[in-house]
Amino acid sequence: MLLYDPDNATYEIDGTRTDLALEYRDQLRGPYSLELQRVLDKMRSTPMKGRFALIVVEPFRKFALARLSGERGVPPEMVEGVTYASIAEAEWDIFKRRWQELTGRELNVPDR
Amino acid sequence: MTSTTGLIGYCQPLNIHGDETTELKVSSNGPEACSVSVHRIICGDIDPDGPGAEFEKMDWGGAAGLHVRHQPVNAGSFALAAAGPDTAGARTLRISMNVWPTMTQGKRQCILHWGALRFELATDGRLSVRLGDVAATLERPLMKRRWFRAELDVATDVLSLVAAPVTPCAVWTDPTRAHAPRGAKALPKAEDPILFAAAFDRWQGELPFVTDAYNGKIEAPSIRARGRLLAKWDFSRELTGTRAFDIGPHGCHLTLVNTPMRGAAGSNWNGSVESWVRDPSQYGAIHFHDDDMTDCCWQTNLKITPPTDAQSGFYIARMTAEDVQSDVPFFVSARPGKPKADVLLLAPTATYLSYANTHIKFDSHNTENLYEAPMVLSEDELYLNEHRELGLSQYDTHADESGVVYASERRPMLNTRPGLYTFNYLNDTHIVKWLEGQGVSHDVATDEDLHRHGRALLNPYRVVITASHPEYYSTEMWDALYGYQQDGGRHMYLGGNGFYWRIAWSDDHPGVIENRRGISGVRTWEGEPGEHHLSFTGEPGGLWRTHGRAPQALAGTGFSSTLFVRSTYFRRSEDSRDPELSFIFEGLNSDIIGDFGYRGGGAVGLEIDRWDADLGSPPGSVILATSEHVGLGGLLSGEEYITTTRALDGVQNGRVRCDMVFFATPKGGAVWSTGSIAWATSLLWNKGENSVSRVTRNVLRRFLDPAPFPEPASGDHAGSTGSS
Repeated sequence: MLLYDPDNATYEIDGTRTDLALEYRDQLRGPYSLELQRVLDKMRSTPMKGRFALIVVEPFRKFALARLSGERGVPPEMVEGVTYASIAEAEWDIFKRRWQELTGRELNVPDR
Repeated sequence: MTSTTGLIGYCQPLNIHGDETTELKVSSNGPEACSVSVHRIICGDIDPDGPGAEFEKMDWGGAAGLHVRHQPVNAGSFALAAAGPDTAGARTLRISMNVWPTMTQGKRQCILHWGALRFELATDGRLSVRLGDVAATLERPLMKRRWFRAELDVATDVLSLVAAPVTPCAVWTDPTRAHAPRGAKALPKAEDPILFAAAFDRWQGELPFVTDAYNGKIEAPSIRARGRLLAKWDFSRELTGTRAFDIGPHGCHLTLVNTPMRGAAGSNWNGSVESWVRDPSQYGAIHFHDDDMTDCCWQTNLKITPPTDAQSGFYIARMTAEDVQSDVPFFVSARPGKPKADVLLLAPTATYLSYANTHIKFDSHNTENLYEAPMVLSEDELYLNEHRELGLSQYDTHADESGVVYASERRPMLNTRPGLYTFNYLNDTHIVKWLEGQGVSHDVATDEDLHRHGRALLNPYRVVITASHPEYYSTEMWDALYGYQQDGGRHMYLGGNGFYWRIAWSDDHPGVIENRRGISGVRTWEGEPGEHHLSFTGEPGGLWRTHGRAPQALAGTGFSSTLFVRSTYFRRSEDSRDPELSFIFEGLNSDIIGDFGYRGGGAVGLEIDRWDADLGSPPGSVILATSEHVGLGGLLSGEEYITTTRALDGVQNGRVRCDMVFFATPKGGAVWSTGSIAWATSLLWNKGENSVSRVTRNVLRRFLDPAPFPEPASGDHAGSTGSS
């Protein structure tokens, strides 16, 4: 029986490639370049424990940032004080947070 | 914010006809009373930027001041006899069985509970036998997913246990033993219930509630007293049913609760057969899970009986209390043989059941990659994560990582109702609203109706519409729809990824469907070797495609790819300009169709299908239009390629596409397939004034016209590939 391997995403994001971040910022839903796609695939394959997710605060209008527990039945943990008015706003912010966590570099590019 | 989980409930049965009764069963997480109103759903999509939710309130079925209370759920599957085999006169017992544990850490798990006797796995995975306060425990833990032969003895003075791997391994070659003085506790008595895979806790009415449910397989348990056989259970007998058969002298048959997995490969399974039908003796195991749950068994709070002439459709019982509004779905189906319209919309309730209460956003590592966006968690989903007792979906794995094969309607289904789960159920109500907006009188029936009544259900209708995602089909459903097509019927398929998995329903397991994910197809888990056959029927499970009935054979198109990041559109083909097909595109002033929509901004999206003669697209079938710009977001399904390649996306692979297909069938019938889930969610764009709506209306109008379609000349158009 084949199971998921939480460590199967081995691609390393180059923290100097801020051009890819800008590409994502300007085209959240694609189409993406192949290099950006790899960055996104890596980010979306982070371990379930601690993975960023959004909690609906007010349907369609307000979302709170949280981290999954990675354990069945254990609720996500809210990231204190971080909410968004749209999914798009959240996606960009999560991208920046993941960039920092995965490359060790803060992503210093302006928001749109 | 109004809570959607302060009250939860389910209607049983899910599917009724006018003048039949469904029973609303409610559990409260706070309110002591609520009111209930019944609504027909015209559109259940509550997105303020969506097509506009619409509910028609009924003047029947409701109630005010309905008393409600919390109702518990007894999760975990187990085997039970209210009274065990008679031990009168016996002073000693010998019990043997094989076990294949799938969880060996973290919780106590009871394999056998009988009076003061417990045979269990300790929290560290060590096997233990207890009689009252006395226990004999092996020194080493069992290994996961290996068969062990275990024998426990309650002798006059000694309690003992011996276990060994059925197939010896280097780290465990010889039997391991444990002993303890027996103590004073008496043997189980005849009136003691006997349970496998859980410990008895209490009777709640007639319901046994259990604790310490076990994860893993049990095989061939037997009980002897002084060499005399008291009971011996053969789990390969009556395999499709709900009891475990005792071949011993007393016939102490066990009732199986919460549908543990049958057709499970036993310790002697050697790969020579793949099905329990071929050799039941290799399938003498049952796989139990502590999170199996196929019937909440709640008390009824309200009986709802639609009037005989109630319009068939998607209905909800809406429960309201202070700060709570929670909907419970049910379906009023057209009565077979009593059509009230020329058009039948089939609500794919098998799809709804399969997806019901999915936990993949929490449990499945690849979900964010599949959907290509961060997980957005609603109140309902957060509730489901914390309340695993409401049962899993067939997309989930059990806590022991084995796949979920059974899904039941006898429980709250929190993603099968108006709300924030924008797949399947909600999308299908776009079709309902579109039909109403077009003034198309229609009946609604469900997958279960189709399964049970077959052609008798379909025959009276000029047009049968299958919805956005009719993914799960039993043999009976497939045969009925195919027979209808071949007998002059007109079938419109407004979806994608249809007719994909082969499932089964069972009269022995009402309200439950079975699906085995097998070893092919887009699937969130993989079945165990030898366990791909359906326990309800003995049929092979998995993809219809692997049984010689690819979706192309039924719909002209079949699943090719997922496309979740953003949707795209169709462009008309040259073949579509055949004058005999001109009715389909009448009134369109562009070759581009569906560059808009409520799911990803296009009519081609989510899951998409393609034409392929080699897979069964009928001779004479025509690709009317094909997707463009699917891009990197389109990902080819596993069964669509043979050797590995990097060219699996919509940029590089011509099979990552969506084809809209038409074909005539014998006796003047016809089939029109959109091949895309997002088609249905584009119908209502711009208040229904759009190319998707126009094409659908054109086809529907012609399909309602009894004038027969000419049967195609053999091979006509059959060379089309439609590649963009």
